[in-house]
Amino acid sequence: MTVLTSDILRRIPKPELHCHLDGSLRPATMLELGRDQRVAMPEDDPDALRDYMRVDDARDLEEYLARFGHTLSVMQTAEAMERIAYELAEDCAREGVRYLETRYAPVLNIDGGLSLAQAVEAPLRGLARAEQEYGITARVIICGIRNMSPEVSLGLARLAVDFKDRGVVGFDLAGGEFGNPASAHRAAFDYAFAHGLPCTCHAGEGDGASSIADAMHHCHAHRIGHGTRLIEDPLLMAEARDAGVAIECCLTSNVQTRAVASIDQHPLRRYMEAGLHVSLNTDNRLMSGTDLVTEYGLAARHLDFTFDELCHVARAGFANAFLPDAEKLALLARVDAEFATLRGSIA
Amino acid sequence: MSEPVRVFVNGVGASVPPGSTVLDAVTAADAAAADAVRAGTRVVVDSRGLPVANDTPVSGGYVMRIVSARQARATED
Repeated sequence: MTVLTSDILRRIPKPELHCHLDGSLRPATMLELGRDQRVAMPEDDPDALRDYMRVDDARDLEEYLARFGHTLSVMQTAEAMERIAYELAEDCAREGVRYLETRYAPVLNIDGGLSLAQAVEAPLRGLARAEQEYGITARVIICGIRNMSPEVSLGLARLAVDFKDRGVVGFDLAGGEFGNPASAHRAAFDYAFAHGLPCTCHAGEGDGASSIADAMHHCHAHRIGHGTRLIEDPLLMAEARDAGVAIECCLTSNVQTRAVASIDQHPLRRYMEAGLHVSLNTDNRLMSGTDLVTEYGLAARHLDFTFDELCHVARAGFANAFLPDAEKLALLARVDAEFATLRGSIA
Repeated sequence: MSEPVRVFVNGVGASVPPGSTVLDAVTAADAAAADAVRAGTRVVVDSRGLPVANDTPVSGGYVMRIVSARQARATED
């Protein structure tokens, strides 16, 4: 059996499908931006800020989300957003990520005077620069927010569609899940879907399997963000499997938000063995103090994933990317060649 | 003669001649499902869950799933 060293885990070509831009800043960058923008940070040292931002003490998803006030406070200029997106893609490339979909809600980035369009254009510039320098493919998913009004979500869906052929590949709904059903935002999902934009939806993280059913049945969700509590409903699991709905799993984050008690109890393996499409993701690199190599390592150590199984999960993630088919087939051809080379080199 | 094109319908591989359409591929994989697609009770979606027209040409590696028309709309109670 292959010993899964960090180097091997890094060399596995990986997709990162669920990664929040406003949850994935470098601490040193936060401090620099805070100084430049005269925004106070809770700590003055990068290591101390990293520790502060890591959410290990949240009682639920809502408490976990409270940390985003600090990151968003320095994400109100085009320069900052471009830099943050660039650095995220750079970090991903160094971890062996070949395809990145980063997501955020631009409505949270306009307090400093940016227009919504500028709040999309800036990260796209950063991602495009990283693509040229590192060979990674990087796209954006625009999020509505559950605890904002459905009209705001509809506006964000319109924004996403406006940028459909310029780097935005999907629409999502994030935010506090409990008490805020996705179906209240169905007009936004309907708009995105009707205009050819695929949809994912955070569900089954801060609420139960019925929230996943809501996303699947009323919001065109072809991927589910987290989906941790899908395991509670075997019939819905079978439906998701048969419909090809993919689950974006985030191990560390799911423990932090108490969606699962421990990584050992995470349903990732059970999902894979039930035939569901699953991917491994970081969610929020800063708040979770993680990266994708770490998440693959956790799956190996705590859930007994083998090298071949991790490659299977990575391949499934690429196959469920929101890239248009022609681009996705080209990406799959490239990573399939990489998988073959990697297998040959460690056999 | 050109090589057949390998496509995937509901996760199962099927080989179809070059120039085949989505409906040709579904017919090759599952004739009964193809009838349902023609009748409009089921529709074909791509790997992103977006409906695709039956006459869309397929290329190697193309992934599609057959879902109920209700699932594709996903807006009914």
